[in-house]
Amino acid sequence: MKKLKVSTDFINEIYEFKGKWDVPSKCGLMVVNKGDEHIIIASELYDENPGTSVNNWNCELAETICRERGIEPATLVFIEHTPDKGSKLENYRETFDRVIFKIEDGKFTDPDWEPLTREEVQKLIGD
Amino acid sequence: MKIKLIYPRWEKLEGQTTFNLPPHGPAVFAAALPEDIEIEFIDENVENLEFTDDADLVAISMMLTTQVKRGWAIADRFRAMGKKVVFGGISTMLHAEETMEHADSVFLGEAEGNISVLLKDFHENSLKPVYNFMNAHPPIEMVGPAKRSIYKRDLYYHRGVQMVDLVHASRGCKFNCYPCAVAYLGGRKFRPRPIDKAIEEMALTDNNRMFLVDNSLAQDKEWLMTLFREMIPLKKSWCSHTIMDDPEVLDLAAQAGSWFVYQAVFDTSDYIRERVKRYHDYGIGVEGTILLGLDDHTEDSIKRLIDFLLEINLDLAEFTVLAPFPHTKAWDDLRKQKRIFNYDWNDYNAGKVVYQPKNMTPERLQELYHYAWDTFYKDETQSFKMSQLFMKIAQREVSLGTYRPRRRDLRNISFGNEIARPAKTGNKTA
Repeated sequence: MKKLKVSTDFINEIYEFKGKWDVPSKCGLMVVNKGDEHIIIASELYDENPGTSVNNWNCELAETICRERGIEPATLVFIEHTPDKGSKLENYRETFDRVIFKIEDGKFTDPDWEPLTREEVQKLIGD
Repeated sequence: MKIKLIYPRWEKLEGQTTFNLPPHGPAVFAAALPEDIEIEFIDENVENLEFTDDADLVAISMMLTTQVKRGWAIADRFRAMGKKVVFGGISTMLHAEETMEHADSVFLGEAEGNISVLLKDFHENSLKPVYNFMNAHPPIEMVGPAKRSIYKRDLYYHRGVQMVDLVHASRGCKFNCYPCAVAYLGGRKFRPRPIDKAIEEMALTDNNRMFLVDNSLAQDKEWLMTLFREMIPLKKSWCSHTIMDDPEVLDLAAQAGSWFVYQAVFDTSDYIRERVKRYHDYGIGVEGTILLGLDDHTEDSIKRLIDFLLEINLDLAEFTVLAPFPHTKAWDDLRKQKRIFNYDWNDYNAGKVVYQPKNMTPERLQELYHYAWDTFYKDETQSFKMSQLFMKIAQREVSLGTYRPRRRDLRNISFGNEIARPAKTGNKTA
């Protein structure tokens, strides 16, 4: 994997996707299978993402990744991750949010966010 | 074929000096159209729009989020008359899906070389809902001079003084700042125009004062230095966004006529203090652009920031409150945190608080916004500070032989409207 400017603690691969208006986009991705739960962590790459943010495309991302990786939507735990950018601004500190979707006929809509701590995420993906 | 090209009006910020500059987007769009198309341009900010049935196609160009609702209302009325209406411009891209509900077509992206597809479909009566060129920027060499002949020039004078013309020497921005949507709009790749093309456009512009609207003049040192060298013989004066913090670049910028820059001031650090000083050392004025309401801001820190601005002798300051425009990180964050309480786009004018700030109430932030304007301009009004900056450039122009006296026939006119004179008081004596 190419060296990234952000921490790769929660990134196993770079996932490329067509974002809003088909603009080529990238995010960091970690998929963890935990038996009856599948945890997807999608990380924003900031300057290294040429297109749509994870936040702006979470429904489409969750839906596509589930389809591509054979994940049953009902078993999905989707987490948005904005890594610490090392900025002076507080707005670039690390955040994790579990995204709850409305899922009908395989379509993901109406995202809602629940903040998580780093420790909670580590516990979720841990053994 | 005739196109009625409309630039919708918006409500100006209360208590601030209003300047109506000739809008750039419509003139860039007009330049991309075939020569044989007749264009009637109406800038609703300086003239009334008549809903007449004399054009084949209505095109609405929108730059600001606070313009979109008016744009949609105009479209609804023309479409009720049976007219086809298409939308383009920055805020069309920011609000594409909503705009589609009021349009026959929305055009997303840059017009050069791409608009012909829409025109062909219009002629064949088969307009599509979306023309998506977001990912198909035209070759930058194709970008020619904006078609400024569409402007009714006399409408862009205030008391006989001509407003600056907007010109761009590059598109795109490699930076991706917190409150900014430029990366979504113009892409993250810096796309400099060939120097000769940019210089040709500046020379053709019948105005000795310009606003270089490039997103940032801090992206490519070699290109910048060549651009500034070539601009020196034009003897024009210009304002711009940030210029690269490099002595060679700043020196050339000053020689090329840099009048003042809009410089973001986000803290009270020595870096900002020195940055402003360096501009001043080269004779370049600084208008600080100060965004209030970031998560780092407390009531105390905002007050300290204003004291700091006075201390570092900013020439002008423009205060705004954070507006979470779609397709910015600010939007992502505040929406996720359920902190946006107002989605009325008319209020997204950077003067009204539409979200819950982290360290104070929305009402308190609104008060601090007014406090900032009042405090900064308490001893020297905005008009006074502007006139100081204006005098500086007028002196330079006189020494270069480029000064244009104000037009006497428009001295009592402001953007097409007669300036109301105060009624005379006191008794007349015979």
